[in-house]
Amino acid sequence: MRVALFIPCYIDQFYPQVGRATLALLERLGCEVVYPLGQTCCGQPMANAGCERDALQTYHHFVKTFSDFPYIVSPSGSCVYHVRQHYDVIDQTAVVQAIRARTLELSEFLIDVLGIQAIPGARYPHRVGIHASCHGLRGLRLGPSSELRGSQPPSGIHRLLEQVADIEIVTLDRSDECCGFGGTFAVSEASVSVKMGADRLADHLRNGVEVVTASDMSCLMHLEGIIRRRNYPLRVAHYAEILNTTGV
Amino acid sequence: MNPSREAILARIRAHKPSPVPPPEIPAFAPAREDTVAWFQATLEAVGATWAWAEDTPLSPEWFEKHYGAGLRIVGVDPDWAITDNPVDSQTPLAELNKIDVAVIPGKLGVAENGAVWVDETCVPQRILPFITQHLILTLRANQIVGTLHQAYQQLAVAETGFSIFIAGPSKTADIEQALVKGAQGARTTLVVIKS
Amino acid sequence: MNQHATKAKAFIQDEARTNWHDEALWFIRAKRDQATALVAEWEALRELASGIKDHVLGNLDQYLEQFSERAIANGVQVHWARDAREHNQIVLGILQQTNATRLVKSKSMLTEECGLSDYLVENGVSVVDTDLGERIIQLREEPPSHIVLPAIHLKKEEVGELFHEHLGTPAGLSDPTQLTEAARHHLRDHLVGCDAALTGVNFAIAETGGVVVCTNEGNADMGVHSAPVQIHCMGIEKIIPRAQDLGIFIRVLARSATGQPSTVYTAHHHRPRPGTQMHIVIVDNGRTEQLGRPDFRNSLKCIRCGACMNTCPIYRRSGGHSYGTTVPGPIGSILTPGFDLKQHADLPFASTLCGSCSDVCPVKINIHEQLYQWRQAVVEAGLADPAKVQTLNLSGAILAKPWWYRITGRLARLALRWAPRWLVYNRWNTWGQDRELPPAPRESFQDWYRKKHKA
Repeated sequence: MRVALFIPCYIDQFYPQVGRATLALLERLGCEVVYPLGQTCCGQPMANAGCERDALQTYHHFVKTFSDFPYIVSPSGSCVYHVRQHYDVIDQTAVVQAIRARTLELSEFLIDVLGIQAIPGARYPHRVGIHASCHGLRGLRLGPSSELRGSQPPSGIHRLLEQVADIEIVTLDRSDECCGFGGTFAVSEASVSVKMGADRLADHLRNGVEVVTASDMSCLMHLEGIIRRRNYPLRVAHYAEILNTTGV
Repeated sequence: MNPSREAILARIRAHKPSPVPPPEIPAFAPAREDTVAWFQATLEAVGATWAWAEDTPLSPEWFEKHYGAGLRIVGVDPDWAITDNPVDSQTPLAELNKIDVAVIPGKLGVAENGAVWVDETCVPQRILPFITQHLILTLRANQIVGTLHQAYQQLAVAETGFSIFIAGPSKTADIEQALVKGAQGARTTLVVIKS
Repeated sequence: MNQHATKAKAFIQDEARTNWHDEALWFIRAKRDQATALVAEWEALRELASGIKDHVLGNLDQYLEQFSERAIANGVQVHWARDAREHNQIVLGILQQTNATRLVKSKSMLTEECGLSDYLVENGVSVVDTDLGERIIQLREEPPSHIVLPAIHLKKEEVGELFHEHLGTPAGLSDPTQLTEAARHHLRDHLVGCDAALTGVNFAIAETGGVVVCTNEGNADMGVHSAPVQIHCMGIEKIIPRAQDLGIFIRVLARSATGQPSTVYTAHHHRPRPGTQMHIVIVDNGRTEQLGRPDFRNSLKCIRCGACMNTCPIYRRSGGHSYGTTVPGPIGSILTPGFDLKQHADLPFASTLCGSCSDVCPVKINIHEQLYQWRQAVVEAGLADPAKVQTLNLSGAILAKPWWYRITGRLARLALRWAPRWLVYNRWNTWGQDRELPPAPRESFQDWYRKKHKA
């Protein structure tokens, strides 16, 4: 299976290990992974701040970069959501439509396309709290949203992590409250943002979590910033890093 | 012609989206089939009480036992002849404000929310169910339906000038979310069910 | 100036109180979750409620005409107000014509929006809010902080002090039951002695010309049935086509609002009592403008349940007053910019776009998507902070050019790695005030990948 890997800008710059884990995981599962050089960003930072107009060039660049692949896979629910939801403002050529339909968050690709239920060999002997990143959850519907009613299966991320050897997944008091990152919100409303993050972390601490994981490194970047400032006994890891472990 | 009316309607016509047909409301099956027991459970959940008519003589002794002595009791349910304190359409507000217990016949009960339908024909004055300190609503068991959909299908809401669903006693949680019964309306609501 | 951020920062200074506020509202959200879980067809009800409201918006003129005709046929006097000023004048006119000087009000966000009470008081009318929470904030001379729970920001001790001052309760009394009892006596005196009673409207039924008012305390009915004049004020969007539709809306309203299966009282008013008057005031006040905005018109579907406030992680931690609007929280942040974008340009940004508001909304308003669209409108209108816009403008240019992007990224990481801490964590570094910046690795993923594939 030939796939293009999209590594969002902040992962590229600040968390390259998450990109490497995603790449390794996909290759380990037999995919032919192409990382198109020259990729930058999905354009969300500008658009979410109201400057959609300034994002248009970036949208076109993204389309140009990823126009030749059956699937575009990314370890970020938020960026994938942005491409799928907000690229409606550019000309809807066949290429744009195909890109919007085929840009998938990593767990969607693993489960829905590859049909994978578990990562053979993965082992992670830690107590893990899953932070349900909002754009993945309520935008891409990667998992059950606590507001909705009716039967909703656990998220694919949860199901995949559950199969990792020796992992212990911790149940939180509030299953899907926002961490308070929110892009420029983290700066323009810094007080509320930090309070929200601290409250999320308090939930993880109260329930004995060692490692906070998520489908979005942006949430984790914000939470990690608070963890390190306050010296909380917690660390963060993208779920791709957990799935890409070995040891069984 | 009222110029404001015309202006508002004209702006709506200029601005409204293209019309879409109304959705069809399916017949939702009630969550429970034991309608009366469901109704009774909901009454308890919303802070009301209920009793079977057989066990509720509504006699002077019964009132004294349940509500206290020397109270002003008004009964407008024809099944119970409580005639000590007749109230009619002319009774002044100040007198109504002294009523301790009012017995009022309801016309329909709804199990899902514990509501009893009372319309203008059930009361000599609209304010009676609210101004009384304690409210007793009476209802026949076969007048109870499961859901509000079923209720509104049976009811003609505009038949009388005023009609209301009453679901439990007056209550508030406006001070620190602490639930308090007896805000401005009746402090207690008892539903007497005639089998 | 970002007013919301400033007020929110002040609110959060008292962390214990912020936690208390958050928990109080989360408790209501949890009750909503429990109540809705008992309704198997919950999501279908939301879809139907949304569909009925969509249908209404596309036929609003006909339904309003039908409603008004039926109401007039029922013996109701129907008034139309283009804006807040006209609304207030109409109400005052009704009161003056009937020599009414003592008005009791039950909860109406519309009259808050129109500033009715102040206007009436200036014109010699005494106005008493009769909902307990509304009365509390009226005595405190402050606006409600929530549309369903107006005094949710106050502690019982504060209410105790207020009642001690105004109602003569014993000093130090803070028991909610005793305070409510004191208010009951105080409000009954006003309710049974009033000249006119005014309520808001939850639903206006086009086919019957009647209005439906939902309350828990019974204050609306106490007032309306005491007074020789009853007035119901409604926005044009309150219309529903048929009485049947109440089955849907009553089922979702209170469950969403407070987790009750319905409010205690669901009153249907169609005709005045013999010898009294019934008036309905239909108000536009910017709603037809909003109807003309395709991206924002479905905010008019709102049934004012307040669920989006209870679920909003920002509202819970910043308090309703931080929004500076009649309707605070997520729904207020998409409604209010339509009235005055300049004044409320900060509100669409008072959100992380987490989407919880949209999922909890009983009429399925896409609140978080509208917040996103309002952000675009704010920037397009030139109302955003110019420094922010310039930064993002520059970011857009950099991110569209791979070479620039790589160079900028490398320089930024280099600076972060080598600059002394005091320089990085300067006072303009808002991120770093209470958070560490992310680690700045020597090598980006792309650098690593290029190296690996060259080798």
